[in-house]
Amino acid sequence: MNQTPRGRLVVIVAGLAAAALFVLGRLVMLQVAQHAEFERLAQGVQVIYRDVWPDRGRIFDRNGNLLAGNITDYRVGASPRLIADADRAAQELAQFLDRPVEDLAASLKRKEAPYVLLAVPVQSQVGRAIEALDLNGIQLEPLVRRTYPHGRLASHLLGFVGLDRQGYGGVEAYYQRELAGEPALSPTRHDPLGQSLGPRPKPGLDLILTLDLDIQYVAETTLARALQDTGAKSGTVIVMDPRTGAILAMASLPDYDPNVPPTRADEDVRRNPAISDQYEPGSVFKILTMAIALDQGVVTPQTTYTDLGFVEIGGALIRNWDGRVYGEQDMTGLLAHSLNVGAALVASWIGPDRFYAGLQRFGIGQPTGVDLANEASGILRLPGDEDWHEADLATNAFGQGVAVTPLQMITAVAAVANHGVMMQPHVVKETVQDGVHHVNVPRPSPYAPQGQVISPQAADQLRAMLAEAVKREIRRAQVPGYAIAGKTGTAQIARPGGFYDPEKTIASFIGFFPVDEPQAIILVKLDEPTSSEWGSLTAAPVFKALAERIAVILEIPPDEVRKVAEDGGGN
Amino acid sequence: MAQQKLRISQSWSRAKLRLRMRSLRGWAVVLLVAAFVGAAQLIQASQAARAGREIEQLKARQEQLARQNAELEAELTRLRDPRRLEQRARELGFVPATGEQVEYLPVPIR
Repeated sequence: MNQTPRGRLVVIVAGLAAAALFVLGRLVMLQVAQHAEFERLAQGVQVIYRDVWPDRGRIFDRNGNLLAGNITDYRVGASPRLIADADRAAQELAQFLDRPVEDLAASLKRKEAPYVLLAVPVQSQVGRAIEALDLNGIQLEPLVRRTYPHGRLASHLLGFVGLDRQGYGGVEAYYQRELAGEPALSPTRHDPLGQSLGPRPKPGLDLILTLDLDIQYVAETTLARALQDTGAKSGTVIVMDPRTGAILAMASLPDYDPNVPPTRADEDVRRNPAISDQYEPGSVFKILTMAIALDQGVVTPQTTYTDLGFVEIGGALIRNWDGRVYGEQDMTGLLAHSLNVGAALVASWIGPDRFYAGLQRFGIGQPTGVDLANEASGILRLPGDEDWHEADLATNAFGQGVAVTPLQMITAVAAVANHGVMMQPHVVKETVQDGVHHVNVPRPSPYAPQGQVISPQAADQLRAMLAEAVKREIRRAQVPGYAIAGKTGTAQIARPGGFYDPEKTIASFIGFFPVDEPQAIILVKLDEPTSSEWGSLTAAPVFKALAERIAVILEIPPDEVRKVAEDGGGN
Repeated sequence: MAQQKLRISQSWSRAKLRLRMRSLRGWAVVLLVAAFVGAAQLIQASQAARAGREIEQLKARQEQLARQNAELEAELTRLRDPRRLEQRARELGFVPATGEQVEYLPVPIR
């Protein structure tokens, strides 16, 4: 043995070197050679794989008001083994959770359980308050929930989202794919932060609607008042810009709160009557009969006929709504007095081929293709169909024996307001991805044709005739300062078995303004009003109330002011 | 002669020791460099881990703030609800304006 100091130093250095080499070698083994294996082992303990869902896209009105968003609730749980003083923790939690202290304490004392659920769902404010307690062993798991901050407002149009993250009805269902985004199967760290380590899910798109929150509110409150005043059991209002097909409001009552989970009892209420319910439109349909007749050159506004109070067509005896004889009438008089005899005669002059081809051009009997879920197609029997009779030509002319949805009806009449051009009705204006706005091009309907459905001349003539009809006969629809073009409808309700209900009616009114350059078209439909059966007495005043408010919201100056502006700007 | 042999032997031993020491110094330098590299790598790894942890915490905070933001947005929307605003406006004595009550000023276009 070398006992010199230098020898001992050599031995120590050699020993240290050997130890360092061993440590270094082990490090290299662990961090390089066995890296993959240890990483796999660690991930097995620390990481779990699960579907990470992105936040659902939000929905805004055309002015940026939030209509549907997401808020976070919490699931509150506990790991009893980590809780030192269960009684104290229970007392603190009981301030915020709707559970007795003893009950909570019992849960927190179950030391054999790795996890106990204390409450779910807990609102965000409560969740944050519990978080602030900073109790060891208490866990808060966020649960994102769809919220509709305006409650029932526009509920039929928006639809709702189920617990399965699926949209039901309205925009939520139609744009499910865009709103939902794409989930990602992502490794997630199993720690209190629960951070996702893998690919981020693709977030859903935000949608900007054509809907105007203020107009929607006015539509709903006016409709609610109308149901009270008229005793109607339900009703629908649609407001549209005829120049674009943009839907500004779509309201139906009774409605529902989309924040509340659906039940079997409210299934019917959750259906959107504006697009899913079909009804016989009655006399508002005369607008289309007259449009086809003018377009085909069968009549002019000055064409006259002698109204005898009845006419027989195809074996059916047609009478006027009041049974009266009106004598010689021109086409404006036919519309102003809403004469069934005149409409049936005009349809017979047009002939079945041209009449039904015209109705199909207006989209009757086909879905409009609006970007809302669950649209009905309406019913239009055609010559050649087994159940079509010659008498249908006459009755269809004034809106009997044909079924439409409110949206089909307003879309068709909007073409008259828009110089004969029918626009695709739609509710989504823009989509937003990562803050970038994209104009949403409405998917063209595979059913309803758009474009020039009647000539501009025929449309302009009819517009003037409808304005004259309102001026002459529908006082309750007149709006001070504005000329209104429109038509009432009072339709009987078909019952199973092919009979009409002898007492109940559907009262409606469709009108648009300003007459020379229409910016808004409004449909009002009241089901089974009891104060009066007539659309002129029940639906027309609702139109007036709406038009007055909408003129202000849309900043449409009265006719006189617009005329002055057009003539030279007040010089 | 014997003394000379001893001196040679001692010189030989010293030379061998010097050689060994020189070799050991070389190994020590290698070990030092390796230790330095290892330590640097460990420091870097620990810094990366700490930074990763901070990123995760910031992400969690970001998500928490996004959630709070969404809640505040919903709350703001509730406060701006037209039903509430109308009720408040009516309490203050306002009524809805009609078209005729609005003054429009035609602006000449030159």
